Amino acid sequence: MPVLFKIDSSWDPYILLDDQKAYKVDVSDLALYELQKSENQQMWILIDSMAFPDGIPPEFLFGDGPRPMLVYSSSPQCSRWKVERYNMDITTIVMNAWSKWEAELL
Amino acid sequence: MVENSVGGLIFEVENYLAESHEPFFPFTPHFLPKHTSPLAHMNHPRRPTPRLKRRYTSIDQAARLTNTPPSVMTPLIPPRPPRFKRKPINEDDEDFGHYVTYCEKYWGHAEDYGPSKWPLADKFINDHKDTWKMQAERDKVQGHAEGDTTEHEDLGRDRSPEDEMDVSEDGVSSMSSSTVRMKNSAMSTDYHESCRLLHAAPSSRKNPILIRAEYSRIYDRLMSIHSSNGGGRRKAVITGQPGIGNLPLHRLIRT
Repeated sequence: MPVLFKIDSSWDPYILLDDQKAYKVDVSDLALYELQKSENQQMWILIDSMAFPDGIPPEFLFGDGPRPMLVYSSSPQCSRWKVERYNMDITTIVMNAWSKWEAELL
Repeated sequence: MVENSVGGLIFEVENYLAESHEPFFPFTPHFLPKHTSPLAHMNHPRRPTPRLKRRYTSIDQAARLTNTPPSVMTPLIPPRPPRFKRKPINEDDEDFGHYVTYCEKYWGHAEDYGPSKWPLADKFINDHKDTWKMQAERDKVQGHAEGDTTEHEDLGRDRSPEDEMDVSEDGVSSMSSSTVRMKNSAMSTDYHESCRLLHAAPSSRKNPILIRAEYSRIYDRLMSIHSSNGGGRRKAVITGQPGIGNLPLHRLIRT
């Protein structure tokens, strides 16, 4: 499964891992019509709040229609991810709390 | 998604075979009798040719087993890659070259995420059990010295995988009401239940990476979400937990 991701704000391009190869993808090439192509619907887009502290980048906030899966990882500070700012369904995933021994070992 | 596309093709093949009331005989034109070769009219109209026998023995095993002509099997090729502009990364790239190395070495190796009941995982855990035990004992002593009465108590809740993601239609999450306590300490044997080993560490590290089993469960749920509703209709936000139990989770997600 192709994965497009950006986890550091210092990165200029996105990184695409696909079919045993790694690529750089410029933001300008992530047009809406490109992302909605059926060939790209199987792709996952992973965005970290370290790269986008203000929330999900606008290039991925498009309306209805088939699209890649977007996963935005963030700290639980609600200012980072609160859903009121987005006019769309957002699935929020909350892990079980870490046990102390897990936190120390992992 | 790969499974869907492959499954779709298989379904088409099954339909094709279901509609055929007679055994399908690859390469046999309909205008010829079934026991003759498609090339028989070039030789003798009633006698199969040696060339025909050689040809059938070369048919792919899967095609013979499913009685499917190669022309139908051909589309079972990996799906096309994303079609936007991209520039290959060189392995010598100082910033991103390690991704090239990683992809070449580990892409598609599902066994990298070996369950912790793997023999390798057992060995890894056994090799480190003493170290973890010492660490647990040391932390216990330090905890008592600091007056920490919660030492080695579970700081979270044990929820079923179904409870892990509480999703409502309006996009606002809610916490599960299940509050079953999970006994969890460095001395317990639940390493096997709560951890998995990722054998995809950089080559400089020999040991696998110990990861939470919950990550794989979350991945499975995300896959399920993505494959439903036409694919990618929903987006996901994953949050971490700050300060390991310093703040109650319900405050974090209901403000």
